[in-house]
Amino acid sequence: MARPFVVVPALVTAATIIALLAFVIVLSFSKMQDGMIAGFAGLGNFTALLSDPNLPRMTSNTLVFAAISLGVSFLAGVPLAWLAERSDLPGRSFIWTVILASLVLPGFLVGMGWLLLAHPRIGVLNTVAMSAFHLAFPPLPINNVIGMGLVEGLSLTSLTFVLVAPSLRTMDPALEEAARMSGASSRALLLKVTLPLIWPALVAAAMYVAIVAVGAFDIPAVIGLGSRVYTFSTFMYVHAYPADGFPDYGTIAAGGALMIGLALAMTFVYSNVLRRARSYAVITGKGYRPRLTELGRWKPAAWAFVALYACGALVIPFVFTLIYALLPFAEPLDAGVFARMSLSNFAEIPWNLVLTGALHTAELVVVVPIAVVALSFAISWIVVRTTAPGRFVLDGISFMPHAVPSILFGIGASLAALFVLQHILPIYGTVALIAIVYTIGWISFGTRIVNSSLIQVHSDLIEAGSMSGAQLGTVFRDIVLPLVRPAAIGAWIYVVLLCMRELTLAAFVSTPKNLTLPMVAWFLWNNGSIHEGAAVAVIVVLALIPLLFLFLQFGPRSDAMFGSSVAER
Amino acid sequence: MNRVSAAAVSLLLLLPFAPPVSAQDAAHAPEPPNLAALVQAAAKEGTLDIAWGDIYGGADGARIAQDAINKKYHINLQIKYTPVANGAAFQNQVVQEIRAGQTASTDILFHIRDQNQAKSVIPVDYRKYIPNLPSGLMFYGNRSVIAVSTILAEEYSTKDVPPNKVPTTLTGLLAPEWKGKIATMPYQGVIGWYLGLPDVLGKDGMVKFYTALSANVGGLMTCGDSDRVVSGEFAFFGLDCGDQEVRLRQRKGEPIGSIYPKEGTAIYAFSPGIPLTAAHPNAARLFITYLLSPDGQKMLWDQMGCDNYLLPGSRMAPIIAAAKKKGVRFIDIYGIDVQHPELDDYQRTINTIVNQSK
Repeated sequence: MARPFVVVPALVTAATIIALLAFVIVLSFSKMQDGMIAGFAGLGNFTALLSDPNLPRMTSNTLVFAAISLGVSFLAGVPLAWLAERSDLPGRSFIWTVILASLVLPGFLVGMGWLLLAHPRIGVLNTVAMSAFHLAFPPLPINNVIGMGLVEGLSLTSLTFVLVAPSLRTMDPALEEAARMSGASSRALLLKVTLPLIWPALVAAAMYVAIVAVGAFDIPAVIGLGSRVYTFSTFMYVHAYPADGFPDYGTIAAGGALMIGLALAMTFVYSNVLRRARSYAVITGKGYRPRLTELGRWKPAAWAFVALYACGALVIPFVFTLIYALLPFAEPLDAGVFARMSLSNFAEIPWNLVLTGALHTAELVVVVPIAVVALSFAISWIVVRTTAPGRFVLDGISFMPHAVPSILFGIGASLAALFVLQHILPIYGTVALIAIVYTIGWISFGTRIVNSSLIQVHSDLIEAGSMSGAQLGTVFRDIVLPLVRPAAIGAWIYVVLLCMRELTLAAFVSTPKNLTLPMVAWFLWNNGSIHEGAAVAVIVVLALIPLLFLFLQFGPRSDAMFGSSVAER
Repeated sequence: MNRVSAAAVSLLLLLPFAPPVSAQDAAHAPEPPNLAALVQAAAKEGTLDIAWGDIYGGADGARIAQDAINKKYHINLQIKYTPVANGAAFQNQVVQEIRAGQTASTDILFHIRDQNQAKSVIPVDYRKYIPNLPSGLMFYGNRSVIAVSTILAEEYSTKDVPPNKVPTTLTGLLAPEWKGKIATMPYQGVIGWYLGLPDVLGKDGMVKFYTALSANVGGLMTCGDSDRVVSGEFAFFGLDCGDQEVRLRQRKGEPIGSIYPKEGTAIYAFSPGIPLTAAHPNAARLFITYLLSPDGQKMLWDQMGCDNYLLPGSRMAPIIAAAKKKGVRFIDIYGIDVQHPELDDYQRTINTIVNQSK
């Protein structure tokens, strides 16, 4: 049975999600005039959306972009997670460091770094190749949907890693041991035992990453928008921020309503996976010992793979951002570039604004991750561990913020605060509005992580606790929490980092009164103060590096985060 | 940490979660009758919140203005400047705030673009504070006042475009050799609408020009992002939001130049207004008064690269006069939407053309 302290927060969260989505749907049937709701539009907004000349190309671009992003992030993220959690790679905890560091880098900086490396006209790769091989065309232009997908995939690899690693960590190695004893090869073991065991986590991760890719804004904006290569998010952005009139919220909401329909379909698929999930329960409380696969002579290759990823996801973006932060103005990079570098851009940063943004971000870091994890546990407990009627509906609702592109979610929340809540809950222009939107927007991530983890906690353990006379709270504290702690920590860390780098949601609920630090960097960058924006971003990253090491050194951490069994504790 | 400290830290962290102050009604507040009363009222408000991009000198301009105002009037006005990424869209956001009765996110809308936007700001007669101010600077029933003039030009890279190949006309940009090397802005319609005027290209000529230009365009960028021309990413950018960006960069020795197209070059204006729900309307009046003063005009010339060519001592006026002598035909277009309401549609037409997906 779920208790009120579980049910009430879960229902309030679900009601908020429904209310915001309902507002988007209402807007999709509303006639907009001068940016204000001015009556009923029927299907007019949908007709306008479907007749947009950019829609067909945008749709195909989005599908290709999402597919490439998903493929790259899985091809890199799943092996990295396996190396970190289930291999005997020496110093494999460094992989977590790399992953967490890559989570810190804002997506638009990853995009900028790669754009500067592979831009068709000024990118180092292309200018050098064209000069060396006397080419008339750039061999590796990145400002197309394939290039965008590759960069987005690199950026999303860390997300795939975070989603998959907990399942690899808590997987019962006895099953693998049994397969080995039966003479299974490593390949057969991987394909017939390991992958099927983490199947729910892979499906959940794939669905999540695909939706994130569809709604991804910063990399398509940095790389594609300027070249008129639109994906769904940048297409919506253009409608949300037109310069020749008021935002076209009707058309945006129509797109959002269609996405909600798609989300419902995806939620149905996911729910089916979840219903079958009990067959994947593998933590039984007995024989739970991790066994690491010996890499043998493949260790150098494994490290080369890790290094390659670190280079693409971390080194290149950061180095090029740093170069931009140190240069007086943009220029093709040549041998004399170092002589022209200086710290003058750092001196010209509007420091009062940076400090204000830092304070707002700090508040979000304190509040949002705890809220996301706590509310996710409340929802996931009802969904996974109870037989409450409508629990799958609750899970579906909690999944919706994933499926609805965050641009729409931000717009819905902002307009609701502006036009509906102004006299009831005056939060327009406050950090509280951002905190609410972030919490709701990331509740799907939290519940996916906690769902996957709770699924693997076999009901025998809970029943054993109850049979021993323990109250629900005691069972949760002494049995469930230790077992799902890696997932909770992973979710918490990830949301902390999201708070520090999030742009898309913030962009649609921000005013000059509630700017976050990433928004300050983005505003400067997108406002033409590229070098000052880069300087702020470098400061953000440099400030986060010690924080990352604190997480790794003193956080509730190494054994939980790096693969040892929680059951051993 | 003891309980008191913990409570203090918690309070500090939660302070910005507090709801914003309720909207003031700047529209119905009494207007100070003279400069002395205005200074007193602004000092009482104590703060001015402004948000825009590089216009009016951006962060440096705000700091210089604050120092100059406080020094001149012996007050302690705090000017809080926030950069915004997309000025036109931000202004639409503020207009929505005003219509919803919320306190505007900025005490000054940096540019009242047309008569529709003018409905969201208060009328101010700046001649109360600057007696000799030419009345022709105020538009839309005194709801906006021209602070600076600018010339809508085509930017080009002096590194990548040889002097003998610099086009002097807009149609010169359509040459095949520039294909893929031109950037324009996603909101080009806001700038290029005047080309549809009957005595420039006319509507059909405008559509034909932008259709051909769009085929030659290699990418989109925003005003103020001229780094991308300097870097060689694009050889041309335009029409831009004014030649002030080029002027500022030329002062730093960057390889960039301006073209004033011979078909007709627009003199545009940036004209601030004060939102109906501004939190600090008197501080806003004082700031705009400063911009119109000789000190303010010098600051604008130094920090923004342009000033108001209609005011005495303008540095822009000789530039415009010199270009006229070379045969450039200038058209003053600010406020022209009152006589030509069809230009509003032209904006959308141009934007649709240049934003066509690849």
